[in-house]
Amino acid sequence: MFKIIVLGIAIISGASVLASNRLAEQPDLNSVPSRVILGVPASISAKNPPQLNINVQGSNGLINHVPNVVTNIFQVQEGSLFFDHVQADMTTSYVPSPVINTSVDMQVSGVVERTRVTQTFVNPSSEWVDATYVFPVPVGAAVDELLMTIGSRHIEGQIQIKEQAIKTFNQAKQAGKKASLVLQKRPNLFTNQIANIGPNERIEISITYQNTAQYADGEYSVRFPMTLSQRYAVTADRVSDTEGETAGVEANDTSDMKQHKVDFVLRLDTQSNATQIHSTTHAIESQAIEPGVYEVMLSRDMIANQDLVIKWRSAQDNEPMVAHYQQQVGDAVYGLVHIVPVETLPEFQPKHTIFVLDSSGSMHGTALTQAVQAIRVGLTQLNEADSFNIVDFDSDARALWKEAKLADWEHLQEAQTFLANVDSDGGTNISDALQLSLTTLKGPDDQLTQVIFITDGSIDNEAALIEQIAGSIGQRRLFTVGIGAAPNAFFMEYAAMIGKGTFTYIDNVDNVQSTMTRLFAKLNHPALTNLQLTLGNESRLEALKSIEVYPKVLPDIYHGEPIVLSYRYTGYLDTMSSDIEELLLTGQMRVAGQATSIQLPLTVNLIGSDPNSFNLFGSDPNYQAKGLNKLWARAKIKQITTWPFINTEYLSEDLASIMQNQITETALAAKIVSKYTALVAVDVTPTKPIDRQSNAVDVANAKAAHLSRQHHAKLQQGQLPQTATSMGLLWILGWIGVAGLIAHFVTNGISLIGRK
Amino acid sequence: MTTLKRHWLTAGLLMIIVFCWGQAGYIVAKAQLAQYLISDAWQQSVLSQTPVKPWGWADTYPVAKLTINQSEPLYVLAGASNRNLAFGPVLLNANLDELSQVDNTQAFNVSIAAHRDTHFALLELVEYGDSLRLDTGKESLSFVVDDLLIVDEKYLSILDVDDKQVITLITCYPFDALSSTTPLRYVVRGRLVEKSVS
Repeated sequence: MFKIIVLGIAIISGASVLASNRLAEQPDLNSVPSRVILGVPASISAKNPPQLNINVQGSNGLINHVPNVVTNIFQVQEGSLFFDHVQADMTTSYVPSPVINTSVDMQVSGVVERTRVTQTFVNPSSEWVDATYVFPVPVGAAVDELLMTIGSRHIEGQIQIKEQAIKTFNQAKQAGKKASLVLQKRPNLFTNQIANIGPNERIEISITYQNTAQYADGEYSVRFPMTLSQRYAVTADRVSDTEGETAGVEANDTSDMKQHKVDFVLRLDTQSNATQIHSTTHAIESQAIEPGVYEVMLSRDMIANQDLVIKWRSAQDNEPMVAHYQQQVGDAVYGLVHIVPVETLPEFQPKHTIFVLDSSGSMHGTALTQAVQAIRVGLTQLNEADSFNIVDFDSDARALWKEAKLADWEHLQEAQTFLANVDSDGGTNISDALQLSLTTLKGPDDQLTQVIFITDGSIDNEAALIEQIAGSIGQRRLFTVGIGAAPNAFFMEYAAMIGKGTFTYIDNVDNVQSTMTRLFAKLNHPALTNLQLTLGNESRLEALKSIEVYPKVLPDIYHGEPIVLSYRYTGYLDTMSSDIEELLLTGQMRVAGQATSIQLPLTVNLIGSDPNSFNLFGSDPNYQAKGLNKLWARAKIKQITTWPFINTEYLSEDLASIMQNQITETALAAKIVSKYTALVAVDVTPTKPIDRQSNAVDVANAKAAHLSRQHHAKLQQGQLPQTATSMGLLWILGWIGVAGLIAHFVTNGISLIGRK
Repeated sequence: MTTLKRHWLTAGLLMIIVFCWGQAGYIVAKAQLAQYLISDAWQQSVLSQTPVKPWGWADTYPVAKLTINQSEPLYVLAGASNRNLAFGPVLLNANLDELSQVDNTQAFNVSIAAHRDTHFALLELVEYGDSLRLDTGKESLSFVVDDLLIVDEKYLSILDVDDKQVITLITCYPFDALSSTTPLRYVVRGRLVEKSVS
């Protein structure tokens, strides 16, 4: 209504103002400015601008000859994959959006995964642009290669300390060279910035990462993440991101990423002819290209709106298994050991289960349905002697009962009613829910408390929550269950690690039943705790003195779960050696309330070629896996990031800088991107004319520079604001409408509406 | 032509007129009404010596009062954004406070931009020797126009501080072009002639 009134007034006032403007006399030639300055080259100093004496009256032709500027920092719309740079003084600059095509080439040998993501950036505009692309990688992956292809030239990225890399990138950017910079924003989130993409130019950027396949319940799986969970900002609480940057900008971009097509090829080497491959998220086609080697492709063009999960199972996977990979890098040997312990006989014991349900706004729709369904399945898995409780949280947390109840028929009915009334809205206040489930709610003293936390993890104060879990977990166990198209796997995996539990991901509504049943099968089995790894005779072999194995503290192992170890020692692989150095794994299991020691027989030859590696690579005894040093570095960095929770060695004020040094050193040695290191690729020849501007300029900086004369170079960025409206055009169109109306009436007679 | 067709044509043309003039009028109305609200905010901000938002949800505030010859004063807003340009002239320099701190010989360049169709439409009529007055709330600066230029939009040097004390008013050029994107800018340069505490 208000707008109509304003419009009404506006029509009248607008018309009168415009009429007066239009009718104002054209200024005579003498009052028109005498100088016209066009397309000023950067080299000309501001004090002596070039003066061209051009008859302004005849300048219409000239104006048309100036290339039409498609985009202007004050005018362009937000690019689909690009962020607006909002400055403190309220100015905003935007960048236009190039078209992106993505192809994924994944290679898996046994459990070692190497994935190359190639993206083509095309700049459709007639301007030079800088682009920023946000890409997620699986949790735990090590990004280690950057390749920039311009036409037929290939430029390989160099690993550098982050500050140095940013400096290198900025220098290249200012010099008009093409450059690319890969930074880690979070452990599972990277950005790629590309500077100086010319008009209609095509740049291809390849990024490669190293990862391990996941193993659970006899099945291996790899995952290619394509969406980012929109993270909910907890404003009242401490908002401290793990990487010191807020994730706000990322959230807007996920919807646009859906439009991009992704080509995907997986080459899967399992050394087993009986491998069954399937995907729970996408339609796939697989075929054996060699014995034991498969090629997996999508049967339809993939739209990047859901993480791709591919799972496979080989016939021999049901037996206890040790897979061992080794690689010589320089004067060091790196290895990866993947162990699935011998199945242990379960014995039932009553337990205390707390289900925690995230019913915040981000869970709305299928995610909440899945989460509720997961709890319903969980309830059916309880034994009558078990006790349980349910916590539901959004902006605040509520418990079903003040204390745990027995899982009898009556209480289960009550729980079902409670679940039926859950509705999703509000924020994600995980902190309150953790407080309630880890501390406040009490259960029977003699029962192990297992907290099943079901969420999409859309939060951005990860570090504070991890700290809270570490501080309050006590003897309880935290199991996180990820729900939705792209749960925040990093947070949930980390939370489960700190909470001595596991992370389970439900990728599809049809899998709720089977996934939850498997999770409870785990929970109903006693876990192997206090796992200890003993090496063979360390003193006997000089090389083994320097061995570093990660993780240092082994997590509890549940039924059907693997143990993954990464190691490094200084020395050389001796494929002829017959000395077998044993790894000895011991653990404890609670049987009938009693802690029982268990020894797991396990032989891994750390020095020479390992008979166990024949399990997967029987055809080639000299097979050496690639990229194990990257995986080892990643495991070591993960270990370092837990120091704040387990630190006893260093003064807490020194800890941050020690951690930074250690992470930097490890990452540089393995050439991987980390919190403190980045990949940067710079083209040697500047291709952008120095007097042309890329559009992603930092307007605020350029403007601030005007106040001080020292920064003349910076003045060449940006444009003067666009200070015209479309009013003139609208005005003329209006008059054309009037003219049309008059013409219409003249030709048809000024007949009143409705008369024949 | 059937009656029905005629009706549709008449109605269609009327709608085009209402839409086009409505949009045009809306731009003007926004520009004019905003200046009334901003003028109130300016009075308050002069009294309180703190920035005052002209309306609750505004993300800008008036920083100066600009008078070109004897015309109605214009209120200059902080923050050079497209949105602010719809409400009034905007200041391109980071802040005006530095102005009151500079001594009488130090050079400065106050740059202000506004739309050619609304607030700065009158720049078309400005001539050499005309007077410009800028009231920053702390002091009043008088300028005399000594340069009129047309520059390319990339010619950022005109925002430079060289060795003079100047004001730079910028709007789009040509004034009567239909297109809202133009690579040319009309610039009015004024040199400081008098400075007094207001």
